[in-house]
Amino acid sequence: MDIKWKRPTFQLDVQYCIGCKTCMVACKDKNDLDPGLRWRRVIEYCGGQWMPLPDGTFQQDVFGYYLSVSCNHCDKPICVEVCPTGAMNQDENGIVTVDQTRCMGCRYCEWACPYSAPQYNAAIGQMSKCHLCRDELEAGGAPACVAACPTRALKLAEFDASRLESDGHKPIAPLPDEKFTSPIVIIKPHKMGKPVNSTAGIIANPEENNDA
Amino acid sequence: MHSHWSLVSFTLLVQSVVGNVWCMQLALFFNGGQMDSLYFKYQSIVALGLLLLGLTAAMAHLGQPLASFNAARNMKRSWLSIEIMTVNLFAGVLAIMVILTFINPVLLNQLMMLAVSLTGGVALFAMTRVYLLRTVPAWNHAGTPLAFLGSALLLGAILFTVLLNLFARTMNIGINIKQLAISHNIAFIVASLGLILKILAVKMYPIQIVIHSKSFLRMQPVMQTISFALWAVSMLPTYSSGHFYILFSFAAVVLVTGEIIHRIQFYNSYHRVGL
Amino acid sequence: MNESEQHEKIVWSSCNVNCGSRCPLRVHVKNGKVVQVTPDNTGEDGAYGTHEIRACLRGRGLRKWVYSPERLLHPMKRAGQRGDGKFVPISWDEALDLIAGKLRHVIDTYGNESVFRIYGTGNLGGVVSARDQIDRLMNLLGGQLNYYNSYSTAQITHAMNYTYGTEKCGNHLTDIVNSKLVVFFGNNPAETRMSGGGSIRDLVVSQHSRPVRMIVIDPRFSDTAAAFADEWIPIRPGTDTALVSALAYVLMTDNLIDQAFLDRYCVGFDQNTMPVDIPAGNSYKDYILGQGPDGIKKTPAWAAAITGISSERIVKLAREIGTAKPAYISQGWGPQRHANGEQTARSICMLAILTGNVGIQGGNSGDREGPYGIAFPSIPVGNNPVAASIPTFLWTKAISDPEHFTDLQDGLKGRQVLKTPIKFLWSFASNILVNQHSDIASTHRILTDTSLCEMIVLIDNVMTSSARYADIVLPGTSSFEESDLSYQGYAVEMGALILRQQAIEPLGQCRTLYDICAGIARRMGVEEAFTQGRTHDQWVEYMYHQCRELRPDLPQNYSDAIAKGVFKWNRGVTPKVGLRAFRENPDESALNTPSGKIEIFSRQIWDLARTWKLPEGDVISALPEYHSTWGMPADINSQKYPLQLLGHHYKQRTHSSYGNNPWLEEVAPQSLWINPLDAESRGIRHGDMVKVYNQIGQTQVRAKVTPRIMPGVLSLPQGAWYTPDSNGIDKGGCINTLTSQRPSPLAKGNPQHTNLVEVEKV
Repeated sequence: MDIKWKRPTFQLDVQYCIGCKTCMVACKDKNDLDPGLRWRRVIEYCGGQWMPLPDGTFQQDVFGYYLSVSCNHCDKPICVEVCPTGAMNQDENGIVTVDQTRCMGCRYCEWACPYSAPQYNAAIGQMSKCHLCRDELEAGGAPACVAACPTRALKLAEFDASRLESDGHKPIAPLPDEKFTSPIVIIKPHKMGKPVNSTAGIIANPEENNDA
Repeated sequence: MHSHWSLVSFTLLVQSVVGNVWCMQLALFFNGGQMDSLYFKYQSIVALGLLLLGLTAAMAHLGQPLASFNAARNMKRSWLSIEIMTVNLFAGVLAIMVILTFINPVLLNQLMMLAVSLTGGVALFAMTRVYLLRTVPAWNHAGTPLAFLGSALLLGAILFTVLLNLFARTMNIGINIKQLAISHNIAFIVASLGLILKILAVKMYPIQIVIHSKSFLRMQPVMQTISFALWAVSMLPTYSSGHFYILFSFAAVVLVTGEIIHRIQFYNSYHRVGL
Repeated sequence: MNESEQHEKIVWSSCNVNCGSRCPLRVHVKNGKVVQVTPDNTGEDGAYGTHEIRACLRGRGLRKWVYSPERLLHPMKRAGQRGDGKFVPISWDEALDLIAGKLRHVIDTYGNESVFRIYGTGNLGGVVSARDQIDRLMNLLGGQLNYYNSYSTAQITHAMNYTYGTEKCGNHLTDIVNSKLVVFFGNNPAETRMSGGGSIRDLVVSQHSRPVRMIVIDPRFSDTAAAFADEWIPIRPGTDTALVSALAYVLMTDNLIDQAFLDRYCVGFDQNTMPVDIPAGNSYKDYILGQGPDGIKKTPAWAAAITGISSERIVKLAREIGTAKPAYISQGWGPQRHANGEQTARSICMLAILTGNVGIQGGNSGDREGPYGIAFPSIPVGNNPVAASIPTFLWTKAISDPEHFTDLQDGLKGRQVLKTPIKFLWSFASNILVNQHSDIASTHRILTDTSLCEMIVLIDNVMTSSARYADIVLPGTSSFEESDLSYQGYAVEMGALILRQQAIEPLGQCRTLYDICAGIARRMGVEEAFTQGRTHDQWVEYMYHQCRELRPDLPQNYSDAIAKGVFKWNRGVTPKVGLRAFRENPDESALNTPSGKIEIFSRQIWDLARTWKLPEGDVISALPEYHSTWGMPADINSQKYPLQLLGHHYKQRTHSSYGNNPWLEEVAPQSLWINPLDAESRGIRHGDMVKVYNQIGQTQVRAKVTPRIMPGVLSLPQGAWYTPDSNGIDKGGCINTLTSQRPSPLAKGNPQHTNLVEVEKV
């Protein structure tokens, strides 16, 4: 069925992502995901040093922000490229999905994707991932995560490469360089945002994003 | 990350067999194509057996092994798809060779052997490319092909030497002393070449792998040097000497163990750009 | 299976926990089971005021909680010791007979003052399903012991009442669009009220429409600081008053105070406005400039060593506050939940008072942001004939030591000394019994002595830590299993009414609180008076029509209202200004304080300080003075336990509500925040299991090593479920294994952020 978007894309205003993770739970509820499966993840990126001074005070340059990330339904989706079975495929609107009749669960896409988008579902022995709630789009609605966002930091937008700059798109750390997969996403940076490839901070919540 | 025992087994077994086939090819060449067919028959059967074992191990890491018949459907774009197909092709050609040796050992000629060697090489190449992912800087460097090729040569030569002595010497299938000596020398040279590649490979590793497996990478060259010294010494006296078995076996065990550890560390060093 | 059973229906419900917001939920039901929960989709989301009230992760995770394997499905009677968690199932009749029999016995033997319905807020969003039903029942039976205060706001409520004569003196948060500067002391809506209809929405919309510089003062780089602050100023816990005093010093010496405002509207800033019979040298100005009894000038250098903030930064902050008018200065409820919390809350108001920001558009009184709410009615609870009222935090003492429970020592109201100990305890949707009350080991000792409190009746949805201590456990319906009304939260700028409907049949033998209370009323002979002939659902309809009297724009027909589900009312065009009437006309709209003015110096507190019996070290002062307390670095215990421990509110739970939801535990696991400097010196790495301990107890939890908390301070998010192993050692990371039952001096509130601990790797 048709959707009103040509190339739907997630748009994240990082400044107003408060790391509440409502998007994650909405996604889990909508897609009935067991603990361990996180089609959407919220990355906490932070850094900075503390320096104690002799008078009992401190100097510090601490910074931190959150990034809600799922599949970016890339223009050059490396998961589609490396998948041996052709199970990973992209539809006419650029939405990348897993064909459950084909996937053999080799997890090669999981190795390759720089966003941890394909997630292995041990219960079925196959990969699973964000499908941009295509069913909701077809019904004229929004993806569960977008409809859930309390701060409206996460939105759905029409992707237009020529408008990216005027849309304020500027990826920030710890997102990977866009050259790898040409992600279709609009990232409005945080005022404390560090440039891509920065080593100023670390992902502070690895346990909330990686497999146990 | 999940445990990689199946991929460790798969890659090491396939690489051993490729190296072994190449040693067989060289032994055939330098012995003027006159080697005893019976000996080759046994070598090929074992090689095929190990290759099938490797493929079985690879199947074990699939969530849906039954869906693996789809694996050829993206050969245009996916090196993994190509790897799976070429390793299976390699197994197929090797199997044909084995069958031919049973039907008529005379049919086994250098041509068939060459086909096996070449498909093995292609399979090894494809396997290497699987790990040259642009999003995985820990693997995406010249060290990976060098390490894989080095492993193939080193392990293949050890496998070749083990089987050579197992069949040619214990079963008395009629390889003469000269042929045996040439084969031993070939294996030693191939292994040495493998060792050099492995040492070069480590030099090309990105810093994070070196940090990750610092103590092992420091210790491994020492163990390799000792093993090669023992291997060399084992070849000095007459080949009937019982010392050969002790010295070579020790060297082989140390080298193979080192390869296994190295491969486990290779997988553990997985590190991707991004999140 | 027929077609209608296969069809998915959507029913309005709500999330009813105590975060301050109140979010509607759409419950998708298929074949009698909830298959998905989706957010509010009514109203024009772009139009602020009637926008979508989007539930946060807690409400959105409700499906996993309603179908929790730990759901209570039938009435149970205790089989082992209290706390063992051993129960045998009993019938409803047996359970209600047991409760009614014991209640009769306790009332006849000890009197109604021995019955107590413990504080609890796990189901705060109901009207007919609210805790009020127990109060209504008890009032029909002769009453019960009262309480005052809450676990949330005891200190600040006292502080506001003494200072402003009201606890409702905050400007709307959206008023920051009219401000030149925002200063938050520990206010953290991003982790406490992050539903899309709550304060976070107000903050985002305001900052979107007109960005204003914001400074967050907090020991922790909170999520609010991360998303909104232009600058974060970390401060040692409990030292806000020292900071404010030094800011006041700079404001005074730089002549940045609003002297006209202080003269006209306030009492006690300087000698001119001091009460006549108070000796000289007791004004606020005297205190700050070192002319008071302590003789200490409250200079930035003095405060720097106490607060950990450099004196340069203090001077800069003071000048910034003094020159940006209007400035929105506010505080969350974290700073006040300390052993000197009343002083902290009062002192933060001083910044607003000194700069004349009280009662003006774009300013604020120093209180937390003010809400907008329509005062929809509660069920009539009747009158409680019992006069005695205890500070809610002191209920354990009311069980174990009633003879020494007095007005001058413990803040008992209505009596000089307690007449009888608590013998019968009701606990509804509450985890105060064990989990949320301080010093679990002490509580355990008091509760396990069954000769003290003779019966504990607990009604909840899941087997909580508190439920393990009950004598009778009753399975209550979850919000998906009952119909009711839900009103807007107490902390939002929007009026709302949700007509929530029963979405699924009650699980197991679960019953509504109303039916439970009616069953007891029947056995006690007050059924008719209790029910007034109405069923639960008839009460809901009755209450809806009560709401209509307040809001005639609601549909006349109840079923029409149900069909619509959610009603919203805009708060009006201009953000509300707290104390505006007083500011505009201080004579006609005098404050409800003894002087009718803002009381910087409180004559009432001056008198209390001279009559109340306080333990060694506790200070009650008429001015908002800085006093270091127990549980702070000057405490002798800090030699053994050098780290200050906070328990911030955490997104995984609302207090302890939903603490066992696996989805929420996955996306926001419990962990101890520790600075890299403190972690490194103890060999602790991120993710390590650590033991946090002090003289009160210990708990084990994973470490989150992060620069987002200042050195010397830890934070263990409050509300995690107390989960003792076979050796009695908590593995749940519950902070109340470490907190003290010693109350704050004036409010007798819970100082649960005042703790000293040590931490080590397990």
